[in-house]
Amino acid sequence: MRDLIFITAFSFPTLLVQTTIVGHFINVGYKPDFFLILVFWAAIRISFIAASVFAFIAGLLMDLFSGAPLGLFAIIYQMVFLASAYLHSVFQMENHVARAMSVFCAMAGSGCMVFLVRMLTGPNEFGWGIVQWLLLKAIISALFSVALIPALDWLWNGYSKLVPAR
Amino acid sequence: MPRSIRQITVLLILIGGGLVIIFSGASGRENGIETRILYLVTRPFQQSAATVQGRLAATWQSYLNLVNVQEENRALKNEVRRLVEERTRLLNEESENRRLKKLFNFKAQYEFSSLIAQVIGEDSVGWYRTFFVNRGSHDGVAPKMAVTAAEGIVGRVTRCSTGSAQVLLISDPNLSVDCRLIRTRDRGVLNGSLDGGCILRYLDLRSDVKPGDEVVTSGLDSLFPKGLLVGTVQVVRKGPQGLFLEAQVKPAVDFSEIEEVMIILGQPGGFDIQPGLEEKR
Repeated sequence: MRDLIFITAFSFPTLLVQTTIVGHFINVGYKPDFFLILVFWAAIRISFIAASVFAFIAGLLMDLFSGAPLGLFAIIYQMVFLASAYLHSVFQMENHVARAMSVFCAMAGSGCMVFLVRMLTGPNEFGWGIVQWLLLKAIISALFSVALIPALDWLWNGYSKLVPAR
Repeated sequence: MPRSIRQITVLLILIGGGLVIIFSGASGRENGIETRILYLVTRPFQQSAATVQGRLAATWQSYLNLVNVQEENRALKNEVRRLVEERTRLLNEESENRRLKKLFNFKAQYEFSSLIAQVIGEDSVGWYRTFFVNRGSHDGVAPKMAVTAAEGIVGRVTRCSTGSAQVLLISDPNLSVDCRLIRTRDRGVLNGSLDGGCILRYLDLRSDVKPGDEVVTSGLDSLFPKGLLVGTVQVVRKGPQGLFLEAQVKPAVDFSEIEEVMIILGQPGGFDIQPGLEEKR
């Protein structure tokens, strides 16, 4: 429960940042997905159930605050969570490069799923421009994760001292 | 000679000398040789003294000024900061007034009811093209209502809460708008493009559409009223199967700059087609 409280406390500020401030600094289309970084961090740090619930809630929030059909990001984040948790259990991703690569792949994967759904639902044309968009967005998110994940670790350590696990 | 008499004599000589000088001066000998020599000798000393005195006075004045200059500087800096803030606020208000005036003028051209909303947020992920406005169901906003700006159409309301609503932009591929070219009167369906901008599809192969042609809403989709500006044709090409023409359209509205929009409060059954509305533009 304490895991879920910790990670959920970030939801509202992250949502505010994601829908307002970030757009002033980075083109809206290329802004990083902070929720995906949070989901990835939750997958490798906190309990399975808490991370899973958080991934679902975060996905629903993203669905509500974007033009995505309701449920799309809830599924995408669940998949990101599962893949990240599995990879972490196998490879113990504890260095920056591995974690940044994982966020890059997660972002690229989620973008592919979004475009797949868009292709099925509307008259969309895919070309090199879309691939560039996808890669650039994934790189930006991966770069942000290099700073954000250690910050989250630091906060988590502090929180764990204040609220120790039973 | 007794001492007192000597002193009186010297005194009288000096007084007499003074009288001689006075009377000789009165006869117009101001520029006499002795005066000139005297002036010539004293001038450099006078000048040096005056310069030194001037410098001393200036230094003293500077010192006196420096005593207060720090306080004055602080006060002036505060004043400058306050004026800059005031200027920024006034510029913002002026810009807002201009935009709102434009919107009100636009609103006055049409008969349907509408309300002005402020953009308060953007798409959370960035894969879609949406934004949020500060009007919701409490203000009468409902999904599928058209959203426009003074420059042209913006999109439509997709989701709505009591105090805010999500607007899907015409540059998103998920939104289709029935449009017409002003010059040729050809109809087509406008969709957003993932690469940015919009594409007007299903134009007749015989259409004379050219770059620079203006595109307006046809009013036939019951979503947007007829005759609202959509954008300008940039490139014309054949569609993928070669059955239709399609045109790349640059939206009239710059979505990255938009701050206020107008939500057209919908009418059940769509909008009446108003003949002549396009000519009013």
